[in-house]
Amino acid sequence: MPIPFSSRLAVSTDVMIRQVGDEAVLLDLKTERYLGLDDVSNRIWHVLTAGGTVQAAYDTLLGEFDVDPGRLRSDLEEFVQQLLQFGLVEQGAESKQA
Amino acid sequence: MSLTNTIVEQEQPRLTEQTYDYILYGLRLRSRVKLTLAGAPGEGIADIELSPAEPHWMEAKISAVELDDSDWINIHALPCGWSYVRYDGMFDFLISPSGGCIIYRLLAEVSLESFQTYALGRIFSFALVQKGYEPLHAATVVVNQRAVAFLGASTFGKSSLAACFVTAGYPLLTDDVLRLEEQGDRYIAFPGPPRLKLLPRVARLYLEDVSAGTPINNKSRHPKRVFSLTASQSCATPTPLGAIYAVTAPRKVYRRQRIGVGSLPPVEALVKVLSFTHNHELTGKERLARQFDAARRLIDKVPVRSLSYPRILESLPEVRAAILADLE
Repeated sequence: MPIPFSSRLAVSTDVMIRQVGDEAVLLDLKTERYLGLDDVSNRIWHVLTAGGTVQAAYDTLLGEFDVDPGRLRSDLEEFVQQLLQFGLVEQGAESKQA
Repeated sequence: MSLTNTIVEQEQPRLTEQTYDYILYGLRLRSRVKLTLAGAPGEGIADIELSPAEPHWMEAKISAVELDDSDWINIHALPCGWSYVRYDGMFDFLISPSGGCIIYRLLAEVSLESFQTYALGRIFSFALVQKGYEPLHAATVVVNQRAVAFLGASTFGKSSLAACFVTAGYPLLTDDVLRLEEQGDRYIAFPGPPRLKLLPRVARLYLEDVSAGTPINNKSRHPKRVFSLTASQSCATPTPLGAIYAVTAPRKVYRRQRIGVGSLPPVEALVKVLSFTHNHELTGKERLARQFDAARRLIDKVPVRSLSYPRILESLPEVRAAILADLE
């Protein structure tokens, strides 16, 4: 079930990220797994974990990328689900603002 | 020293206190066994000590270890922070949490060269990691006063490629364990034992060594042999690292494929350096975090190139030529 876009995401405490040019590599110290982020997913990661809601991230990304809004929404939902599934982020409290 | 000389013959029933110092990977090793390495000049504080175990002490230390008899190699992390590595029917080792001590016990009569191959290679990597270093799994030669490392897993052909360089006058810096030290805007690569582990036919082809070499172990498990290099064939001086070539796995290269030398995207370069650490056994958050940061800094300062070639022994000079052209 996709998480509400009013949610906030926080980077899990056991996750390290290192920038490599426009891309990045994540290391989950708990599972000892590495994950590579290309330039697009790297940008998405940064926006998602900047402290705002998923909705705010969506709005930012919609302004930056030439993409169909519906496609962006579904891709973002899928990306967030993967991050949660891998334990790379944790779901924080939902924002009370609409 | 005779190749058939065994450690058992060297050691007296009553161990003496005599020690021998060597400089290995840039560190001072103090050994209770006389090794076939050049002695360290002068005096100094030992970084790592290699000593035989008192039998009862060793047994007590590993009493809770459950050995897997189906595996020739057993590696265990002990609760007290020591690492235990056992090569069935040959020897076992304990490496201290600080990396300052390597304790060994002979389980059978073994050759000195066999003992050195393991003690100064894979076992030593445990000590290096415990001391905070991040050794890479690489064969390294010296080209125009710069170290050039061939990075990859075992059986990738790194040593054979290094032998091809040696025969052309480019000395070997280290065959297996590459220790690096960051100094300002560059990395220094440190010399390992002046030896190559090769198939005998590779040694005949490129080192013109018609000897049979020395077996690596007494189990006939390893087709490779150890071949000692002369002073002119090896470099005993710490050398700035010029480039790293990440070698493509043999199974990913078909015989008619052309030799490929090229750039690696930064993320791939980072992944390669992380993949080919010399020690995957010591994990834990602290070590992984350190390794991650070390690899990240390394790729910023040292070019990491991809290298793929069909594994045709007679064609290694062409591979060498491609690498030399790439270095220019």
